[in-house]
Amino acid sequence: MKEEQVDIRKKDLIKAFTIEDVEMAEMVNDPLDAAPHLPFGFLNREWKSYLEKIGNTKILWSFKILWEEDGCESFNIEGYVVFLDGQAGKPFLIRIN
Amino acid sequence: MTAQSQEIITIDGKKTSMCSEPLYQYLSLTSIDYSFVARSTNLWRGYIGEWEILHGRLYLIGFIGEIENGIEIKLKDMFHKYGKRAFAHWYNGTLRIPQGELLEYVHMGYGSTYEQDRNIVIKKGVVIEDEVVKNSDKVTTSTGGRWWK
Repeated sequence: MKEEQVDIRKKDLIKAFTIEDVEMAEMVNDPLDAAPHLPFGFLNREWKSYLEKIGNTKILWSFKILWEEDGCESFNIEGYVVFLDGQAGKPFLIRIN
Repeated sequence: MTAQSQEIITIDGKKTSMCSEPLYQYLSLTSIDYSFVARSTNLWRGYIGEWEILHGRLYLIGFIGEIENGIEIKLKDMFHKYGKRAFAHWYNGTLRIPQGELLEYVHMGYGSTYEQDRNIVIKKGVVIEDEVVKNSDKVTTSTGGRWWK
């Protein structure tokens, strides 16, 4: 499953966040210091890469969708996405289960 | 698919095995493509992880996998300075830890049924529920018949 394949619609959006709010909400803390103390922890590199791609965008929407693959397997997918003029951009995926 | 080798997990100081693969979610989310090689039909995922629940959190504490050209990948290759212990903050789901006698063997995936399952629900790497479900009433006689008395 690739980010580009994930079809996000307006009904899937949950809440709008500033980039700063996202980074605060997704900051990883571990008392044993077993993960980077950074937004998204071990996925911080992917997050930084995503920020570069979305450029000057200030607002992201959190979303959650049920994704069905090949008509047999389904996953809950959560993440953040730019949503402008009724269109979702490429999402940043943070949870698949 | 052949019955699959289980991941290892230490809970309450005791080492056991589980029918869940918490690393799968990380491998789906990271931009690094490890492409593990399956050397055996009982290990299609191509790796085995060793986990620990400690202070209500899920940690990956050991790992061995193989990629192309026989290159071995260990925990430090994936998590660098966190190569002895990596907090599984990416994981959301339920760890299924079978306990007791084998009631019904299923030659596929993690389909076998044991006396009971300890189901540990994890959210963002943190334990939020922990329950034991008895399976003795759940075993069916679908194809293989009953394996217990």
